[in-house]
Amino acid sequence: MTQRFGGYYTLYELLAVSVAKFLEDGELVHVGVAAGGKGAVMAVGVPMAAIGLAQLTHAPSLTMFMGHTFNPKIDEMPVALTETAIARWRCQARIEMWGANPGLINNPDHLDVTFSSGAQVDKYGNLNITAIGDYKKPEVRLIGCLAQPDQLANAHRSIILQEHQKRVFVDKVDFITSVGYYDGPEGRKKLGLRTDKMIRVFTDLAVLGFDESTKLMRLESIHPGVTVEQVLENTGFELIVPEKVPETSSPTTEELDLLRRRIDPRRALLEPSERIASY
Amino acid sequence: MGKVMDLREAVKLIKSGDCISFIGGVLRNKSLAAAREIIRQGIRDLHLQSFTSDLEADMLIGAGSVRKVESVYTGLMGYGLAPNFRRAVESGQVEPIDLPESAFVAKFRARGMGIPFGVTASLSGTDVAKSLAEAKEITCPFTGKKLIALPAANPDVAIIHAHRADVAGNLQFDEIRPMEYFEYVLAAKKVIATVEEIVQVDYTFAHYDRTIVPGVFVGAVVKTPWGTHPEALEGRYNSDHAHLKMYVEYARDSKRFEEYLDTYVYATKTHMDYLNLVGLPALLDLQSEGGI
Repeated sequence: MTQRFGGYYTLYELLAVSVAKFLEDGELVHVGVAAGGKGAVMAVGVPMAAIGLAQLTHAPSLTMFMGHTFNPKIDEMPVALTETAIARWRCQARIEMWGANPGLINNPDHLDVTFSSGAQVDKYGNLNITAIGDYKKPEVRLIGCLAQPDQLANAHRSIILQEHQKRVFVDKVDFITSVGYYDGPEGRKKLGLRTDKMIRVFTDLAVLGFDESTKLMRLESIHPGVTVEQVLENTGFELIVPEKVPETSSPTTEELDLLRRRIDPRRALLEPSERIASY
Repeated sequence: MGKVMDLREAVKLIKSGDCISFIGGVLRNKSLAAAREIIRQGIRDLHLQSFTSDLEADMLIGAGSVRKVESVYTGLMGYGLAPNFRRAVESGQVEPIDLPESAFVAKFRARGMGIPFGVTASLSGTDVAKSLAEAKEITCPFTGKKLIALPAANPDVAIIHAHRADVAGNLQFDEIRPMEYFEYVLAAKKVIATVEEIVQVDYTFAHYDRTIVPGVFVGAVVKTPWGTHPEALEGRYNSDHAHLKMYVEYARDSKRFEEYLDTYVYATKTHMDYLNLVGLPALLDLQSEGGI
């Protein structure tokens, strides 16, 4: 998966560059922590690389926080994100934990962007990380909630980074852990949730958004070498496909240079590591 | 009125049916020594109310000690879903109580501030809200906004593992300063602290900046070196990767998990027996450079 596109750039580099364009100057962005492997690249590596790239290009005053740590040196991210390693990580500020987490994650006045993923994502962008099947007698009991309901409820924009699989992209999630657009254009309004919400989904095949009038998931662009059919085959509901589907912009040589030399010189962010870590 | 006691005596403060809170991170800083002693004493029907639940919860569930698990996360991070927890919830043997971080912290902060309930604004429309028997929708008297209220947390006992305690119960961590641990302590009726070492109060006066919990809130202090094994203790030792991998292998099958419990819990009568079983070379191996 990492060596597609003829070895010229990797999927994760493509995603980092695409996500970076979705971040704006002056914003406050939250990144969570995750264990090793491919999941950690999608949950931590791609977001961190995208933030680093945005800061070096169009968004110099973008601020990120992870746990209680603000604007750490992205090129010095520890391989294992233990509490001690995070405590030693050079950064601009480290605040009291509850002030940041769950404090800021629940503060719509300050929180601009969060990153999430789910075991299921539905056509309205609702997420499930709690249980597959019936909640009381689940087929697969999953991890719970984390701060995901808080993030989806309160952030202005939520970025969902996800492997594109049919069992993940479902018509209706079995359990709504977190509300995206709920059941359509009036969904968030009737629930009393912020209505200026924007959600973007970035997968290994495509970039997806939501239709303005129906709030149903829509194909925004397909990655180089991917076909629309491939996306549809891996989506478990009827995706809105515009007449002309653009290709996701390939990274420029300048962007790749920044990613490889300045942001991720140790390849700690954009290459899956077998190292197991937790916070 | 000495606070220093042995593990058996301290764990006797926990009764079957209690709500207990393990303080720590995911696969870090949790008092597994206390969890093993709870199993040895046959304490049952526990309601676990820990911010995150991982190895301690999975082990207690596998031993049949748990009725409810209330958490924002239950799992073993890089080692996958928690096998005993998964099996117990899927079979209906254990009841999960799922809360987002906002709601969990609101419940504890409410207790700490003497307020009867906590509030979250982020559960509107979720099945999480519907699944919570205790949740009540309330209307903000100022803005009219709909909110979810939950009763304040009420753990009977909190269990914390620290780097160090003095004989007065002041709890210290070196380097990291997890002040949220204090907030969890504050919500509990009784607090058991297992620690790597016990010192005189004079030490605390000289190094007060390392104290995160004042001794007044701590009821029992137990010397249990390597007390979080096989989890890590931040700033002291790593998690035991080989042991955790083995644990998951055993926990995937309930019959085989009995073997794990027989070997590492029931056959060891004390924490020192357990450390002898794991062995000094294996323990020293976990103290790598930087102690993480």
